[in-house]
Amino acid sequence: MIRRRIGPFFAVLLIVLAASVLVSVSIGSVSVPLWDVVRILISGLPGMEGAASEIGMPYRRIILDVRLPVVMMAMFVGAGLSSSGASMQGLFKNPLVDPFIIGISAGGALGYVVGIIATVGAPYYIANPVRIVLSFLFSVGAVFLAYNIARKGSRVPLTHLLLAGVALSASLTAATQLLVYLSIEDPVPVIFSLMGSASNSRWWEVGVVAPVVLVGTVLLMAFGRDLNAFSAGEETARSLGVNVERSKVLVLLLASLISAIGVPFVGMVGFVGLMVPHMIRRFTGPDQRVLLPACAIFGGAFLVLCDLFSRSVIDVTIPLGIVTGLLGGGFFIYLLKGRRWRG
Amino acid sequence: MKGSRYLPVISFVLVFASMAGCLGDDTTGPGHDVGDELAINVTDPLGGRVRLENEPERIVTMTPAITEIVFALGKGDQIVGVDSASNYPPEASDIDKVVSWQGLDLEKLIVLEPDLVIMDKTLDMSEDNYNSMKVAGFQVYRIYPTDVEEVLGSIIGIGDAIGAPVEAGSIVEDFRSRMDVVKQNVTSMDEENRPGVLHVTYYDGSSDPWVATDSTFSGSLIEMAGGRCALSDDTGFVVQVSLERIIASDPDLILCSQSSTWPTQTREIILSDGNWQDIGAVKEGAVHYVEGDWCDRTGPRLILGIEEFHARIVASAGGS
Repeated sequence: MIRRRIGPFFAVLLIVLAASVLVSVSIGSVSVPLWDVVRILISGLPGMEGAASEIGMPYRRIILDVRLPVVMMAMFVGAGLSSSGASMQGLFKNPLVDPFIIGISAGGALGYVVGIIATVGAPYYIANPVRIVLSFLFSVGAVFLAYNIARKGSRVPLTHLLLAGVALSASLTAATQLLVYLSIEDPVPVIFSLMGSASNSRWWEVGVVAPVVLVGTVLLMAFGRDLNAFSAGEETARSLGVNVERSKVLVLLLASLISAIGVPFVGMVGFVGLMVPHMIRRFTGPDQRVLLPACAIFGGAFLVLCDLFSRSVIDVTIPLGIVTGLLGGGFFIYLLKGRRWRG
Repeated sequence: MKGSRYLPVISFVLVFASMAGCLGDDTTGPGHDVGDELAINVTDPLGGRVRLENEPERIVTMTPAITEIVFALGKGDQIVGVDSASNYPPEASDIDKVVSWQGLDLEKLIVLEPDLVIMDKTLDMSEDNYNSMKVAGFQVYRIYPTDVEEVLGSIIGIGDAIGAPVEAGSIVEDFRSRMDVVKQNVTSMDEENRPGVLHVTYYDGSSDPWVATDSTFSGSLIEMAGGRCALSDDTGFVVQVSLERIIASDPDLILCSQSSTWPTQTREIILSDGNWQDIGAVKEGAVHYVEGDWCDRTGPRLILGIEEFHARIVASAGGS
């Protein structure tokens, strides 16, 4: 991308993000006028408590504590998935890689279900954290396992890692389905949770996800130059002075963390990490130092809009994973049939 | 090799197809009226006919409510097979399981040799289980109650089908007189004073609550018990609704289903969650468990559910 166009491009992205958030916070099953929404949002800022003093407390609660954390959750999860996808596509030199393809979501789903079965009858303040932690650990564990399956001596060929992830995902998904089928008395709510949804997110949950995504994305950006070298091939990267194996491990670890952190809270939301980098790469080109932050911002807006679509298109909330899955499946086919699939 | 593998299946199907054919000849042959000699000759609420030469001695009940009905009619010792969720009365848990949400175990059903299978269409909307049992030649009595009157009708119907009409009559009479007490109390309640009731059937805090709206069976119980459903729709099913809708509907009373077999902490989660705190019911501490098995199961214990709803609603109306 031409250097002087970078500033305006990011300005446009930020405006898109802000507009997505505002529209999304304004629309829900209870209708609140847009101007009231704006005043309620302002009243949530420190020192501005009086801005919406005459608006009833239920509405302020609905906007600030019920809707806004959902939108923020979608934003941070979308940002994490997208920058994770962008860096993994760079690392693997494969435009069809998505954080979930290497086992993150399958592992997270299994951890969630194991957590539910393990905590039947336990107090909720123990059960819910156990589910979250297990889901996260299984997500990261799946990537770690795929990495070790793919390892050949001191090297980890990227193709092996990809195939190991695909195989592992299939096994973990089957294991999840088996557990749900055999062990869960009322499987419907659990199956629905696995379909992915940002609804009912709380501020403390956003407080867990946001720092991981923000710090992880910034750290990934520090590997921008290494990732650019990777796109010329591992051997070339090595000859350019990149510590290939170390960069591979760190990029993989960071990319896994920023996508896995969302799984316990929103479930399996696939394809975002695939779609967003492809959309953005058309504008930025493959330079990871520009691509990564752009993906983070646009990915946030993208999942916010998917979430808005999921809860506003019909009068029941469609699981978010179904929305992204439908979009992503079509997008995948478009990539395969179109000629742009080299990105 | 391939052919021989399927041979048992094919012969199995043929045997049962011919069995079904024979039964058809027996019962519908022209000029062969044996109606007067039959011990049982009834038509179920969906129009299916059950004809038995003797009163059934081996019964299979395919929902927890039907199991409870047959036990209440004094024929529990004749049940040879139940569904996996039948756990009341406690001895029902020890009976062989022939069906669960994973599906029907037709082989086991055949081995049990029941004279009569009683099922609820609600749990077999595709009619797959019904059709496979009919093809296999079983006598099947189906109920499909959608309101309290139809529940009472199904108790009478099952009583006729298993040869316990007197017992069925007295259960229904007792049910009606207790229900009349509730209805009488409700007419004396001020129409304005009816509390808005939210019935939460499942909520673990991680995704939106599952609730019963006014179009559900539970919704009709709330109305009968003197409450007003806080949420309304026309789905007819328990649905997930967003917390913002619940906050905006501001119920005066929240009832949370609790089940002995799958314990939840719905009430504690609601009371400890800041986002629920502006809701009238939470401010008043009017968040209570109700026994899920009473209000969900369309059997004789349904009256306990109605009375429990009514007691909670009266307490809530009195407090406000």
